[in-house]
Amino acid sequence: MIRLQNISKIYKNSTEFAVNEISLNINKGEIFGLLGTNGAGKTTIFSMLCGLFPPTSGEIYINNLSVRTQISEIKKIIGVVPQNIALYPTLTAKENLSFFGKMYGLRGKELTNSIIHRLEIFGLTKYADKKIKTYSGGMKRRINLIAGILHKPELLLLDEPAVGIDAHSRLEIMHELKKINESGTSIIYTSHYLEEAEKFCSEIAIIDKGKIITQGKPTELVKSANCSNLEEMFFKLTGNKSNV
Amino acid sequence: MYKLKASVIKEFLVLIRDIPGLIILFIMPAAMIIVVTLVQDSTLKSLSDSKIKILYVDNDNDILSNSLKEGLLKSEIFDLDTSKVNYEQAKNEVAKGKYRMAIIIPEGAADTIRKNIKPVVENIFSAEQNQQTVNFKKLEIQILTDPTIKNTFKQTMISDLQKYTSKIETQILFKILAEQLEKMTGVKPDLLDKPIETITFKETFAFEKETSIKPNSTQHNVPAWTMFAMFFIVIPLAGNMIYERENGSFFRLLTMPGNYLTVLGSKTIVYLGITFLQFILMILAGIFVLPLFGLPVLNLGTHPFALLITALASGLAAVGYGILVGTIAETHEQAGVFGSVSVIILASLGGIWFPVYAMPAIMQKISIISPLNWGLESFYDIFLKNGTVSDILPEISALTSFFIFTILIAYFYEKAKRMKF
Repeated sequence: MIRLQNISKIYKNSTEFAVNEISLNINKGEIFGLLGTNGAGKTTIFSMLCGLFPPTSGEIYINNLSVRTQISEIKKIIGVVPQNIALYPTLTAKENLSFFGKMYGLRGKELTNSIIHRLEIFGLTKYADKKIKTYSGGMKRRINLIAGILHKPELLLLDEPAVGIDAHSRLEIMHELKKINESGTSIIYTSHYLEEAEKFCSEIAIIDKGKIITQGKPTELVKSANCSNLEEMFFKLTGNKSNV
Repeated sequence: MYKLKASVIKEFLVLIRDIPGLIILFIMPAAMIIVVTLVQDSTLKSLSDSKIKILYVDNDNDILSNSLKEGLLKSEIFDLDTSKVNYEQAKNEVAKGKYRMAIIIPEGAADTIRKNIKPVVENIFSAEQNQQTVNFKKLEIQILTDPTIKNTFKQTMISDLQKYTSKIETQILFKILAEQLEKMTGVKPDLLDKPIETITFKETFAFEKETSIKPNSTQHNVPAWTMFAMFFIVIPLAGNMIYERENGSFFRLLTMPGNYLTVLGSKTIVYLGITFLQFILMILAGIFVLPLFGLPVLNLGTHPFALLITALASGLAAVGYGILVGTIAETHEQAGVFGSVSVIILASLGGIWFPVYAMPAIMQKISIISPLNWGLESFYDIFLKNGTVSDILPEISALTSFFIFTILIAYFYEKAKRMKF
């Protein structure tokens, strides 16, 4: 479904590679975790997958469509959940979701039903008409997620979807994401919560200094590295504890 | 179209829930029009309600000082205080800021004028061999001024004093002339107490077309401050764009199907609506509010369509500028400072505060780069010259082109910025 062919990225005014010759194949139905420390290159890959800016070299294909030349086709089949709470705080949850749904091309009953359904799933129905600025962090995260899945995307790109919220809310979000995946949506997910990634992802790639240092199924990777869990393996591979 | 409509609704909701933003957009400009028009109008009405305090030290008490005093009192601009008796006292009072100005008439001032004029008159009537050499004595009237008063006011004041003294000199000349004639003929001529004023000035506005419009402070200020208010939309508009970038919703929009022009289009529609409402509010203030303060009622002229397209074209130019600033500025601080300062500069250049015709030649040439000047000229054509659509076409074209130009720059700048990442 997704092919990254030797992609590299050097930002303007920088001499260092943010992403250096990365190649990946991600299959349909996968929950793929891009893991790494802050500044490892996860968000750069994420942004290039969304078509926000092109790689300096290499190609990215989603469903055999080139991100470089066919981005408008790709945008119709992807859903994006940014790390920030990308919502309008003075609008209600319903107004926010209605706007983003419409921007994805949903209309009429399809849009209304999708909003009602998602709010129900995430337990936010009774807060639907409240302004986002009155929401707690966890509630905002959930609306942020719903805004990216209203149109039932084939591929969901999540950039740290549960960052900065309590463990309970995080667990709830991950649980719902699992369900979304089971309904046929492939997921690419960046995170630095390794324990969570170990449970959630079907496959992971650990990125360090713009390069993939290991890739595979989490359990297999942990086993082959003779570690007890993903976190231990991560420290062993990157030698970096502080930024995870 | 569907996405544009959705985007317009979102922009509208975001805007109407931003109360401080709405205050900046509507209440402040309306307050500004009322305050500035009131201030300017009272200034133009020769400050009759707030007289300027002046000290008048008369060390002569003769025709010159008395006539001067009479003239100053008659002008009704000045509140004359004659209680201080000497130069030092007067200087202290002005230095303390109690008076804006002090006029000190030296002792023997009128006599000095007489002594200067008398030999001149006598020479006129005497034979060539009896001509006397005239040594004019200088008469110096001292004027002490508060350092804070503006030069223009000072110059006007001195010019008024010169006018009075010149009248009095003429009066003395007449008197001496009459005395000389009486001496020669034995008949006392019927002398006029005061010089006659046979020259008057009649002012008529030179309109190209028949109109009932009377240029006044309302006709000048309402369009000027409407333009200023419209361009101040740059602050909330740029702020809105930066906020969207900062909180990630702009990023989200970029990852969604659709064109960036849809985003810009929705902002243009909503904020153009706002500028139009500002325009309506200003017009209503000119018609209904300013007269409550004793100011003239705004006369809209007879070409409402020309007025409508001027408002729309000016609004478009203001929105285009706001979008450009919002695209280029990285932070709220940059947008706030650059936006407001640039609008103030463009307003100064455009003649909002000071008429372009009174600017130095170089500034007059520069002023044509200001879109506020184009809008203001167009409004003036309608409000002061009863202009038609064809009269304002050059300004309307310039404003619309400015909008297209700024939107294109914003569009390509945004695109280039992302590609250069």
